[in-house]
Amino acid sequence: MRLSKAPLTIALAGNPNSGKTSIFNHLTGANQHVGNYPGVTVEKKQGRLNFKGHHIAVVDLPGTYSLSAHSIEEIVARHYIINDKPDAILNIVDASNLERNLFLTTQLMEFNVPVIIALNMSDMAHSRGMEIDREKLSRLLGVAVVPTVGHKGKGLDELVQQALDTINNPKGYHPAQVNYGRELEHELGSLAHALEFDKSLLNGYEPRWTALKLLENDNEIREMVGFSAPGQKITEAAEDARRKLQSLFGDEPASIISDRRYGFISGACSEAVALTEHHRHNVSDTIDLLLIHPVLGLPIFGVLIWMMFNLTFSLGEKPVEWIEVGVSFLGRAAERILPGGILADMIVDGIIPGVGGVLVFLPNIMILFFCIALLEDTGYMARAAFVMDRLMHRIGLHGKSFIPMVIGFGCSGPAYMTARILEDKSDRLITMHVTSFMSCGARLPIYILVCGAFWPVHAGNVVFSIYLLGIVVAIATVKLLRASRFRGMSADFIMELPPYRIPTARSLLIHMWERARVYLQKAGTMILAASIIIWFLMTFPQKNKFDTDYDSLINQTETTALAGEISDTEKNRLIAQYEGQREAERIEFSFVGRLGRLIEPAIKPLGFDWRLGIALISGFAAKEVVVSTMGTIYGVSDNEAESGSLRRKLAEDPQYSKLIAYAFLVFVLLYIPCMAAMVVFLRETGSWKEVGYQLLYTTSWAYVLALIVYQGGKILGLG
Amino acid sequence: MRFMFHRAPMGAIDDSTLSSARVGKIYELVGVDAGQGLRDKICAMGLNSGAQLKIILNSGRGPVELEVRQTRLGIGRGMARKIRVVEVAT
Repeated sequence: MRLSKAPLTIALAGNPNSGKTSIFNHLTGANQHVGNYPGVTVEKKQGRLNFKGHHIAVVDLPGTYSLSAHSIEEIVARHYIINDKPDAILNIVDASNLERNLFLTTQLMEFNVPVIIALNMSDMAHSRGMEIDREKLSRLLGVAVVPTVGHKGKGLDELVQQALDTINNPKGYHPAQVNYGRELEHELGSLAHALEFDKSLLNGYEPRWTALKLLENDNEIREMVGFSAPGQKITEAAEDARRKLQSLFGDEPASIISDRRYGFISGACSEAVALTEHHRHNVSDTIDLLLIHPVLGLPIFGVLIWMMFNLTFSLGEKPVEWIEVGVSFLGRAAERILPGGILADMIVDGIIPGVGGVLVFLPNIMILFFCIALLEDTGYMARAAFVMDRLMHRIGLHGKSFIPMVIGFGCSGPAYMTARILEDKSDRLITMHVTSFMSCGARLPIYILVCGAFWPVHAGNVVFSIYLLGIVVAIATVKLLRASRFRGMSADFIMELPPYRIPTARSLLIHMWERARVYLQKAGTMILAASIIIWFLMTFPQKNKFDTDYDSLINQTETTALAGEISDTEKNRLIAQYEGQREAERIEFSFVGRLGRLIEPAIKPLGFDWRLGIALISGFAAKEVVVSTMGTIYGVSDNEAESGSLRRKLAEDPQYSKLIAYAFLVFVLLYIPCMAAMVVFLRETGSWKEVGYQLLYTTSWAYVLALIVYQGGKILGLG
Repeated sequence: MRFMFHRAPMGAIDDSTLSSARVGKIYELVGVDAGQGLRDKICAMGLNSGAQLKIILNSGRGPVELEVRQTRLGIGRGMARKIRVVEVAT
């Protein structure tokens, strides 16, 4: 018997689309914490619930259809149940979808943790003509059953109360055991007996469950048991048993086990469920007629995505401006308040613009994820994947890969985050790797600058060709990756198409806030650190003696202006020019400038000089920085950079040609995404190795294609 | 009872794969030509041997939509070719 006030832990388990998340949201409200399970990128959602004086920790396990070892989510869910031993499992079951949902239930019941079934969406089941006798179902399964309507929060008090009752009365919990048939049960019995004999092999796992997994040929359990010599004997015995059963049934034991589970479920359902009438999915079917229509489905999807994309950037425009104004105000205020010195420089020139530059995208991120939550919660996302699968599969991607790739045209960071919707790991990684080639919005100002300088008439066409090249490179990369690191086809497409639902505002807002919080955390930690580093590299070593005495030049200008020899506008122009030249000299002397010189031999074959090298390096901080860095290097002040004088300078520079300009555009399109995006990439993949690959893919494409453009162009006499 | 014609369907008319199944007809799943991993995965989604499937959408290209155990599933063309079904007389 537990002390009633001791902290308890309850885990939520269930199928995707069972309404698990809305129950979790209702139980925990704003008391949520999203993290990752150690070592994997599966999200771990935890929350707190205070119920009648009990402090209960609620853990939302990943939504799964089963607990085999075939997907990372399934492994995470079963590890959690076995190792962390929650006090109870709330199994959220979609009542209108009972048989399929109970398949997971039969597996949850095999653990030594009490299960309580939440018969969710029971209102929908009722309206579909399903009458579920919950008492009977509860008796047949040996598990308490509580009807709930998750998105309305109905039945949740009773559910938690039932969980507490079950926890406090462990003797009253007798889950039914699936009978796997005489032959299988015989093998199960002897394997479980052998396992029980040497408890060290079990690592705290249940003997019967472990034996069952051995018969299913579960990789993870086989390796765990077979680790030692006595364990190996057991795995060999299991192998013999599997062969015996296979010849007896003419099928894999794993399939027989699944069949028996479904048999058990069918038996229970045929007794506890009465179908009064058969009219289901009426509304959903009608909507589907249009949305997944073989011809119309694709254009409809295109329009919806276009709307989402537009909304993200147009609706976000104003709040982005407000944040920009706020950041620059903060910068000026800091400049005024802080006493001069290195620390103040670091804050004013490093931290505030660095972190601020990332913060400005927060409104876009929030709108984007609100739209995505809307598409997911209504049930449309599954249809979008269905519609896109034909096209994407031919390329070697999954139907759902399309969504992060489209978002990549806006900003790579949120696009990587969106790749979470792909369950299969290699699909997810390939999608993330190629999403970088979807030219992000921050690269556009660079294209505009360069194209404006070299192709004043055909700028639009040139920019379009760059976007197109990005798509071609993405497709080529998918093909290359599928032929090398991720051999084989894209994960087979099988997906539930849940009935359409009207989402609740609450759940949409919670989804949006979750993403925003992750983004803010990132801005506060890694980006803060990185902006300090970049500021350092651009500031040190400091140059105190300049080649030209700019200070006296400026003084001189001011004196002549005072004397009335030149106009005020002329004075300001000259001063800006001198300050720009001084800044250019300063940067050339800094670590970043030296780096530019250092890499010059490497980028020479592409036609780039050290100045373009520095501009490209600074683009790692953020792609927007490339233009302002170029302004600095070419000695143009910030305001002038936009007004076209930088464009003129580039066009008139004898060192550059159209060929070099195009090679530069190609390089900008394909080379490494910015630091902020890479931080997200690391967080989402959880692997430095993948970040390394990303740097390798992007940089090699950029280098090779820019080289081909420049050298090829020279051979053709275009230089 | 579902188990009465388990793996030896009585009402078989036509042996084929899901890829060529006709819209509106009801089929019974008789086997999946794939590794255990994929078989487990689709089984967990309600598609085990003996399951009755109703074809909702099959345009000959792209994924197939079907209804099984009161759930709608979308299944890619490649996978549909691996799922053997027989039409059930209705």
